[in-house]
Amino acid sequence: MASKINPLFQDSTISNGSNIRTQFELKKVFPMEDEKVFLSLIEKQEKKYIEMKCIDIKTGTYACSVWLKHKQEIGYQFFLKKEDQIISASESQKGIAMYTLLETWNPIEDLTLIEQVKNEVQGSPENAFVEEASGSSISSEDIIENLIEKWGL
Amino acid sequence: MSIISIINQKGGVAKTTTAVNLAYEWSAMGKKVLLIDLDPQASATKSIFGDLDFEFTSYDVVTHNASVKQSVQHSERFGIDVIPGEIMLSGIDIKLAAQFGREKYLKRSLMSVKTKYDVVIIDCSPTLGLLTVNALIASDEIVIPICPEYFSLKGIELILDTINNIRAGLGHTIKIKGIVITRYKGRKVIDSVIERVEKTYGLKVFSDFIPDNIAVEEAHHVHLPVRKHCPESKAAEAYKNLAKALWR
Repeated sequence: MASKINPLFQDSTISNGSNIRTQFELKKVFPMEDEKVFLSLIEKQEKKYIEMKCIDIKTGTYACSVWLKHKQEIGYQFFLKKEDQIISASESQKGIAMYTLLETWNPIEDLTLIEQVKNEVQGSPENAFVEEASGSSISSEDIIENLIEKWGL
Repeated sequence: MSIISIINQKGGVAKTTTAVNLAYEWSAMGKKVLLIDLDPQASATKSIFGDLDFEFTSYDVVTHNASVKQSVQHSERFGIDVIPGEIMLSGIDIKLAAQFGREKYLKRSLMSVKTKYDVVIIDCSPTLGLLTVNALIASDEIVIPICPEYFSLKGIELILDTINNIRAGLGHTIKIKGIVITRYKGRKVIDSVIERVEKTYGLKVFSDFIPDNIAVEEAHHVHLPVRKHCPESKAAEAYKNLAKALWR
């Protein structure tokens, strides 16, 4: 069941079903250099995969934004991909499209579930992988600066 | 112009004392300051003006019954402009509930003075309702005063939840400038509190703790900032340093 929304925090200037840009943010995810972070999104029974970009290297926050219908019910899941392989995935969840959806990376340990995600992703058509704008992603200079700060290089 | 809300959903944590003294200190630093009293108890207004009544208050500004310009009162003693509060603010949820854009009424009103002030300080009500949501939607940043005696991580979690809900449901991102320790009596509890706040939530705790000092209470009674009432007091020094740290 989708979570409840406190009416105090509902935008009174837009009606249900209006287009809004929803920012997905996943915290505490620290992929290896050759791994990528993806959002798997189900809306109206259609599944698509969107690569998430790092917006804060210190907190391990990755983000992407997608046009959705306000208050539309959605399903979503996050996974790490290395080349064509799914390395790990989070539990699939249900939610309501709002301006921001904040989650913390919590990978599942059940190997059969990960296998299921692999099969789903690999069996999806090529056009299921879509490119959507992320928030302001960090530059390679930021990554180097952070490494220097962290490791004293 | 930067808009900063002083907020904690718990009462009795020296929100008003922090708001009025920061307003004075920034004014003393040469900044143009507007203080908005958004608490129905109007403690900031009483602290600055005593028992004076005003034709227009923050209630009129939020409900668009009067402009900011019409509602502003100048305080010579504090060197700041003030939009006073009043008990009518307690009915604002009912007044605005069915209005289109009800959460942005204050933000819209403040647009008219965005070039007039360097900083706007909002002294928030301790309750969570449309009034507080209006303050947060209008704000760029918040400062959270915390009293160690009443300290609980739950209190901070409550504020963080509110900030996240505002971001998720209303699309407005607010920066948390940091936590101010007020009514400080001794070092005992503080270190573990600071460590927990910084580690668990990644929030900055300002190192200028505001001491539990009689000068603070006396200053309210004589309608003066603590540094004018008792310049040698530790509280006066602490607010001066805190104002500098917060401005950076």
